[in-house]
Amino acid sequence: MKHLYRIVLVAVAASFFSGCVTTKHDWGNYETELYTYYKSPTPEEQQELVNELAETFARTEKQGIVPPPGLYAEYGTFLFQEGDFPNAIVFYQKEKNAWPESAKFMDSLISTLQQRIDNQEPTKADNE
Amino acid sequence: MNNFHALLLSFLMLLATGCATPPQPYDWSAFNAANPRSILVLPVLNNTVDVDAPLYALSTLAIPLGEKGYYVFPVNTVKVVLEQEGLYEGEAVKALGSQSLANLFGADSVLYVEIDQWDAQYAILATTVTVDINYMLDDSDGNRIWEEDVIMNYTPQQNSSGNPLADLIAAAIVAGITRASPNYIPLMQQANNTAFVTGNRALPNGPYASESK
Repeated sequence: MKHLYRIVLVAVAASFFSGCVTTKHDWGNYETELYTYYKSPTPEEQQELVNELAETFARTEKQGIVPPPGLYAEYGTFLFQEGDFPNAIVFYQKEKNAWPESAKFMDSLISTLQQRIDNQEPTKADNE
Repeated sequence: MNNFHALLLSFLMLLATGCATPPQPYDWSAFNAANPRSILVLPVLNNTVDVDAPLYALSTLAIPLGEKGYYVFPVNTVKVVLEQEGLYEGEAVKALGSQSLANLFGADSVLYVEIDQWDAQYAILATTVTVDINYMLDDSDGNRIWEEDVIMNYTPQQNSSGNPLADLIAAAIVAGITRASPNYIPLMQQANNTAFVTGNRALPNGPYASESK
């Protein structure tokens, strides 16, 4: 019975999405993954969200379309939090290129990270 | 013949007005003057003691606004940046004012979402949930350009409505409001949809609505 319910749910959901409602952007499971990450902010949930974003980029880039607004930047922020500043900058730049409305925000994030990179390097050299 | 025409006309009028009440005229002049391309969605403010998770609500806002054709600022990135500035509370963020927030992020408009009521009355047969969510949009000068207050009274039906999709949505909401592990998402999605898409004050389409990207 539970099985049948699931099958019906999937069928209706599928017809719902393929039928009259078409989404403008390919969001993947961004909303669900963000929700579960907020609900339990563990490294595992964060990794699932990051993987979901990467899959969305792979899908959209293959089709030659840009991912939905904000997603490149969300990915960049996880890289930023992991300390991978150079790649965070790459994704903030991608967001800026895809969505000009984000330019001011992305520029300020990029310049903050660039400053941190510039300040980091001499410290590293000093330690060596 | 005349009678037939009159009947046809009244039937057409009935069809046109349908079951929906005619929308009240809303003054769009402030919105149109601002003509925003981008929306900065701020962390959701909780004015109740009933919902312990305004954060979860934040995850539901990007998609409906993006689908309306607006540039939506990355909600989690915005949250992280605000927290790095020491702004953990929706109230503290709001105190900055729309003008400084818009300027900080380079946004055309700033959206505040406040949960004013979220009451679940648990009963054996039918749980009733009343939610009241306020949506407020300011332009980059701090002028209020749109607002909507969505109040929903939700009592899950025990019987089938005859519409399988409606029943499934109802089932999802019923499942969501169970006391053991409440899921605020389905109700929040419904409120968002009313505010942005189907309500009397549904937002006009954004710049990317007709443009493929």
